[in-house]
Amino acid sequence: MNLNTKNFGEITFSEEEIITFSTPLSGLPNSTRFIIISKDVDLLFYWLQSVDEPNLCLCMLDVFKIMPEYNPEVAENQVMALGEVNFDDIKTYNIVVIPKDVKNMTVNLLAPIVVNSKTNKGAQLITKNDNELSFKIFDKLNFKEGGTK
Amino acid sequence: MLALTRKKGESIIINDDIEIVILGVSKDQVKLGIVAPKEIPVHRKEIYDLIQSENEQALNVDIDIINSLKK
Repeated sequence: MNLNTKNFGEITFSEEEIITFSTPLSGLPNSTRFIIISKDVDLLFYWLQSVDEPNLCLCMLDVFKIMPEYNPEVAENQVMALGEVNFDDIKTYNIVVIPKDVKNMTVNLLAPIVVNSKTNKGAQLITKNDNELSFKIFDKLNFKEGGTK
Repeated sequence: MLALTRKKGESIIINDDIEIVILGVSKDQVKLGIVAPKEIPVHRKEIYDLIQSENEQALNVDIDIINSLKK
């Protein structure tokens, strides 16, 4: 399948890569099907690219790799709604907001994107424990020269 | 908006599969019990609004900024 995206131009992907959400993400209507683009995986960035809306693309971080102490607690039944739970199949990503000054980059620890890679179902789940909605993460990413080239 | 009057212990049904029970009332607080299928997310509105606004802001990420971080 092909898609002409805003950020990546024309991309090709297979049907099996599509992750289906039971509802659109809050505030971002009209899209329930996404693929995860991991071209910036060396920086721990991932892109949640909508298949339904080519202009809808969110940046995500793999926070577990940056802060091993991150411990999102979500309602068990909400994870079960993504299909049979095998811990190794559950992947978690956190949506990033990047303002003009990249050093003020924040990551949403309160409501991670949770994906069951076996069933390819995903959801944005709200954690029950005390996690920040806008956590300043830039200093933990260890970019050279304060981040820019 | 539909307005219904309910007493403690009574409930309303939405769409055949969501039940909202009035568990208790005291002064200006109401305690609700919600019975819904597990795939239906239920949130306090104020948290939902915050996440919605955060998602909307995330939409404006400039990919060039991420590219500039490389190296």
